[in-house]
Amino acid sequence: MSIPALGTTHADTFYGPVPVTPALTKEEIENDYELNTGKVIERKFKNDKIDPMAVPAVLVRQHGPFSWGKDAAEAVHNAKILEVVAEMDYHSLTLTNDDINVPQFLLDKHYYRKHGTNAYYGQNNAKSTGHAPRA
Amino acid sequence: MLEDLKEKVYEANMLLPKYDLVTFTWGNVSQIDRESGLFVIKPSGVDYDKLSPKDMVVVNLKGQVVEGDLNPSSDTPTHAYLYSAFPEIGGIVHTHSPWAVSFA
Repeated sequence: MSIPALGTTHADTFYGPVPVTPALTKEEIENDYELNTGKVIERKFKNDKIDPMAVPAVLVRQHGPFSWGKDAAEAVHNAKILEVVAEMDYHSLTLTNDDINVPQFLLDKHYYRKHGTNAYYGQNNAKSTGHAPRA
Repeated sequence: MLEDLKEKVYEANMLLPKYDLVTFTWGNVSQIDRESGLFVIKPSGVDYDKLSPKDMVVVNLKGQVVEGDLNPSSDTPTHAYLYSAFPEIGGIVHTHSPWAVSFA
């Protein structure tokens, strides 16, 4: 199953659920398996109109996670966040049957705190408003 | 060839055991140099504690080895395909980290 967006830990990095691809067919596995793994990932993102930069990870069904980023370091960073979020989600989902997905406005708030032109999280951003105006 | 990139990809690969994301050799990291269309990836099945930057393999977008004595990660064709399919991405990671795998 996809990794649902249940909290801000997820929303800070993944703008929506992390999808899971369909399983590869027998033919796709027996011939050009690794190439077809790439194709099934591309198809999932294109069919579901997911921006790979907004959701920089995927699960290949019955296999496991691939993640990416602007460089190798960011891809590893996203791989770790994915793992942490998956663990949190597992626990959250065992605690309740309620709908615990984050509302769109919380997803928007947290994702865009860190991404895009209006991001203000961290130290490298001119839009930080944490300081009182200098006299 | 691409010595700086080999260093970066080596460092990124070494973060996988540091971040507790891999068991044995079940993981790989790559990064592409978009200018040349070549990417650098971990060699296949080499233990993380025996890895060094010079072991990194340079591969083209067809998945063919351009430089390196070792075989590239068995997942190299997946990386090559994703770099072509998603032109904005610069680095790719694959692991078998257990919580994410559980959802898969």
